[in-house]
Amino acid sequence: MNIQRFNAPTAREALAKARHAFGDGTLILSNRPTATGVEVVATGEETLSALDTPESFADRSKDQPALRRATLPSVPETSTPVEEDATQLAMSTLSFQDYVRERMLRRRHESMTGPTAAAGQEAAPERTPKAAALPGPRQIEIQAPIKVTAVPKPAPVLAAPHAPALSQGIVNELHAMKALIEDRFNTLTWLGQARQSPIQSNLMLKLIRAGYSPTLARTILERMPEEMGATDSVRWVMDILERNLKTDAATRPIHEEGGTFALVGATGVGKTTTAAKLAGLCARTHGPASVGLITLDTYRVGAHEQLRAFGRMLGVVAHLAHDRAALQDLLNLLGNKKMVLIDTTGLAPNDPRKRGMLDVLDLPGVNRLLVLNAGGHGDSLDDVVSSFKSTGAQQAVLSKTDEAAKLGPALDAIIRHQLVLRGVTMGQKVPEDWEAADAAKLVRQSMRSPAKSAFDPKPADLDFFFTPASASPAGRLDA
Amino acid sequence: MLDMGVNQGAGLHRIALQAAPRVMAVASHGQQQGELPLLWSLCATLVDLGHSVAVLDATTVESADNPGLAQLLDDAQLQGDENSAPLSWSVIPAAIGLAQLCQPMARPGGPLAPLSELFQRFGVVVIYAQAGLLTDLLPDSGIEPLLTVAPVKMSAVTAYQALKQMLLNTRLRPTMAAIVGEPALNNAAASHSPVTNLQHCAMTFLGYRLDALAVRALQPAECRSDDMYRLALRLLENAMPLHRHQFMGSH
Repeated sequence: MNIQRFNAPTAREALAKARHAFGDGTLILSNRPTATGVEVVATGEETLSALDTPESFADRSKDQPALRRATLPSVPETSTPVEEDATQLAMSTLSFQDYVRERMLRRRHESMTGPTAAAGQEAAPERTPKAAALPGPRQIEIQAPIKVTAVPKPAPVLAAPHAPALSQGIVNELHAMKALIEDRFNTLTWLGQARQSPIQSNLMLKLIRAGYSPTLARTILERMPEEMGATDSVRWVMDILERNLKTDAATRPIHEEGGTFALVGATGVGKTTTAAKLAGLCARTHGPASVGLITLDTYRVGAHEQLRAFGRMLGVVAHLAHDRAALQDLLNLLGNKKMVLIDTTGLAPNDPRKRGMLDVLDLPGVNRLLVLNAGGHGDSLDDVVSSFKSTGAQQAVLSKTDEAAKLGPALDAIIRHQLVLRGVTMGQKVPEDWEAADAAKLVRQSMRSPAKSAFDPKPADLDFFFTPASASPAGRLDA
Repeated sequence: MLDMGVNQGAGLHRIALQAAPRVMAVASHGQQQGELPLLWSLCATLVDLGHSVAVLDATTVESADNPGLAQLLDDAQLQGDENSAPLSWSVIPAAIGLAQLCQPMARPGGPLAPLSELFQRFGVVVIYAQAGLLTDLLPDSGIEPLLTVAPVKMSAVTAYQALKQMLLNTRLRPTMAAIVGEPALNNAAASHSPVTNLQHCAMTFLGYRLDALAVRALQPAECRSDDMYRLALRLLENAMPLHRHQFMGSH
């Protein structure tokens, strides 16, 4: 058998050399990039003809049984790669992971040697790179150029420089896929178990109907003792929710404690009204001279005027700060006040101006007070909380509870993001419509059976709730 | 909901003492070319902010032809009906009247107590008087009188005199407004301006760090500039509420 190796700077030149040696009947056995260019292994057609003779085949098969398998795939030059792969897989113990890796390597190799592969397509079927992947010189010496039995697990020589990164990515993807499948199976198992327990099933439905997220509902119910009765279990769930809804009940109310607070949040959640309420409450306790009002809202038409109108009713001056330096000046001016409230421009979570505004507020002693609309959708509230998150204790005020059909989503967001609820507003009256945050009351309110709603899930719909579009954060819960 | 006069802030009226006018002071030290335009701008800005303003001008003497505070103190009826809407701003000669208030007679509620009856209809009462008079009228009130420094050489001297009087006699800490022209804001020569000299003197001789608010230009068209808003709000913050029958400082 006459097999030769040709090295050249380019694949075209290497092929030309091979043609020069074997003529028109050149058979390309493999090609691969080398440090100096491209290496092509080729032979002549007559070599293949010699292999086709029965004697020759029989002799060889006696000596090297492996070749019997190797020669089989050389026949279907017209067959599709899928069929070839199927044939190979049937003969090997190739795992799916190896298969994917192999396919990826082949595709990469084809893209690298595009013109050459096209030129040598007749002589070198798609399998060629795979053959070349075998440890080159030695394999050629033992005359097994088209050995395509089980692909060895170690990374092929050809793709050695690229293989680690590529395969790592695939491994990661496969791990993620595995985790997803496991998670889905766990969920299905858990759902199945939950369905068998009418108490759990009802509670789950109740929590979902109240607007709590499936994540939180499951986190709670997974921890519920099994032997608990129906009444006890409801009480237990509410107790868990209360315990995890952090409020300032243990400390003095915000308007008595005082401090500098910047009210931040999305548009239209009631920041200015909340600022006026807090100012009114502080003025009632400590006198109007104890309150300082500043607005950073130079964007909304009439924002300063609105705060000033409230301020005038109270006898408190509402200042306007255009930038960080002006805010710092005003904070120095109002340094002797019991409470300084900074009203800010309402911004959507993805508003590019948000960063600038939060930078202005990044001054020592300024606490952020996030105003959350109690009637907001769970996802929107999640976005807002994540977007306005700051370092240190996260404090929040729940606004417009009177307008909210369900308090579940808001309480859910507060629980999962570990916010400290400093108060609740439930109307427009300044300052009357403000009350201290009472976890028990809020949880009771949220779990109260709402009127029939088109948005209420049915027991059969629960599967959909636990089918995440993407991995969702489990949140934190102290049960 | 549609009740007249009821709004979401109705509850604040029960809390606040917002009906009480606020007293602020502008110190005069003989630099009228700077002080008067600034006072004008200040009043215009206060009116713009929704306050009705009464200026008690101690640099003008009341007379029969030009009645003022002295006449009002003698006969409060001259002030008109208390319930009628006030003018957006009034300038009242008050040299004699304010001097009368400084007389050492024991008045319950302090020297300014009579003003609370006379000016309840106003949102802000501005006393424009010499530093000496202010020290008698506003002892330990917490008010921060406005001290204007015009970009003229003598301004630093007269302003320093007024500053020293207020600081040493009654611990009145003034708010200093430095009048600057537009180009002067970035002028290297600002280091030798009257304001810088005044700050240097205050620190050296009185041990007092004097911060200055720069107020740009004094053109009528610009009287409602951001500088003026900032200055007006700052003065309002430190103004003293003038409660009826009860005189008490805000600090």
